[in-house]
Amino acid sequence: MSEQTSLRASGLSTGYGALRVLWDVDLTVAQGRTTVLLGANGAGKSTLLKALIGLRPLWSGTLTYEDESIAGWSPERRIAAGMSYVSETGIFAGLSVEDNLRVVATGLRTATLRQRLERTYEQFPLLASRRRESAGALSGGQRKLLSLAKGLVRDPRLLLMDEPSAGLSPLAVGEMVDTLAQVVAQGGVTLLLAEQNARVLELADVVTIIGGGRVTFAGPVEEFRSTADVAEQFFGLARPAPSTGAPEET
Amino acid sequence: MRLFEYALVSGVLYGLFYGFIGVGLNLLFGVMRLVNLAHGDLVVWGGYLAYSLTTSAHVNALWAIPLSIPFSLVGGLILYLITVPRLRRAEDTETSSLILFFGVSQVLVALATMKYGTNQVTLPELGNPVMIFGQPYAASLVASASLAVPALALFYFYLYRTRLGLATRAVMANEEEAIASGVRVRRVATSAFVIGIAFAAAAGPLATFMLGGINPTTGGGLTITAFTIIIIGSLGNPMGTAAGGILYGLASSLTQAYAAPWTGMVPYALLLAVVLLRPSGLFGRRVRIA
Repeated sequence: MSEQTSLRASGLSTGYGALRVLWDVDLTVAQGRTTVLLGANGAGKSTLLKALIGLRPLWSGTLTYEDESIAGWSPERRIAAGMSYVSETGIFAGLSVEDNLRVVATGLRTATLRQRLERTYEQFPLLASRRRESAGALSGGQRKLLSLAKGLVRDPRLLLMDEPSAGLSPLAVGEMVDTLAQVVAQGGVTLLLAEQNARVLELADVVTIIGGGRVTFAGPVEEFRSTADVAEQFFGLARPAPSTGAPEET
Repeated sequence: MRLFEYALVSGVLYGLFYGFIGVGLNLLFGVMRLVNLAHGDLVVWGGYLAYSLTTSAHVNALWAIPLSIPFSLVGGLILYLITVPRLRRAEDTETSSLILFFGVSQVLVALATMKYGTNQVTLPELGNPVMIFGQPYAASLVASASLAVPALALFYFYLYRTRLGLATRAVMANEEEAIASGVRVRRVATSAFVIGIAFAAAAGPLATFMLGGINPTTGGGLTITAFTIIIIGSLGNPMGTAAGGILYGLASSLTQAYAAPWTGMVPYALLLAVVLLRPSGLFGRRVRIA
């Protein structure tokens, strides 16, 4: 059975003012397959996610979601169609935890909203215990958890998440990766994660690398790991050199 | 002691009225970063509506409050459609809005001058003084505070107990995040604009009593007072405005009672102290979480 395409960008370019940030980017996200978008700071990962959700206009190229052209759609319409976006900050620090969740679901019926909140609190018990507190009072890891929960409230079919590990301690990064793995295991949502942290590769089925606003690599994670120069470029993940049996020089 | 009590009560009563005036201005700034220099002139036009009703139709001036709402909603929507989309596309919305609304203010002053002349217009006092803690207060002062309380409560309900209010607070907190969360920002902005204008116009009839009368240029001073209040309370946090209004009223009233020559300066010294010591305003964080 062939893979269904969730999102496809072709020849996508965009930028800010007169500054072009992305150049003819091609990206395909298959349904049910987690795609990790790698790139250094300033490479254009965040801009690409913003263009995909509609926060940046397309200067050129095409963009389809579930085989429908969405290039002219507002972010609100894309979200209503089943897309979701979690920015690097991802929360409203001035609102309570519960208001952060409710604001994403302002268009839902009251009963549906209540049901979604209950389910979210079951999935993220820590948020349930702090639902009345200001989101700004949460720790970095808890904020990331809230941003993820916020991104999931509407039951999206495609979740775009910018830097899920940014600003987290190694322990908290591990917890975030585990949580994302649970989300994937539950099914129903396809992830597109923009990242720089090697731990997140544990989740990846497909890796796309952006450098200088262009896609420099796209392929299965196995191919990424086996392509020494690409992996080394990012995480020092180059395959060990084949052993010759000769003793190492000291 | 009785002077202190009197100053305290009148300070709170005046402060509630000032909070009523400031809350709409703060909403516009909080949601859209618009600096509405015409806010006071809109209040004055609400006052002129009350004056026209009283002199032409011979009805109680307070009827102008509910009547001003449909006028201001329609007028606010027209003003929104003419100005805001362009302002929102500007590189520096705050500065552009300051200049644009300065122009709107001058147009409103000129129109008021053409229609009502430059003389002060006044409204007859609403009735006999009202006794509070054994001391008399002007009926209009008590009526203004009494109407400001439900108006501010209604505003609180909109902001903290409705979905539109939640979306409004989200936009105030972070507009891009709100857009990315699926909030209909244009609808929120339109609502906030017309609600802000409606609050300004509804406060107008009360201003005519509280200021002892109005003329076409009264609005400039009201705008400055409203900005002072919202900066003391918390710029961008409308409910901090009510607290800022009461503090402003108390500062004015107590100074008037004990150091009258300093009355014009003390509220602004309070403003400077707040800006220097707590730039986010006295209620910058606490009031924002409902």
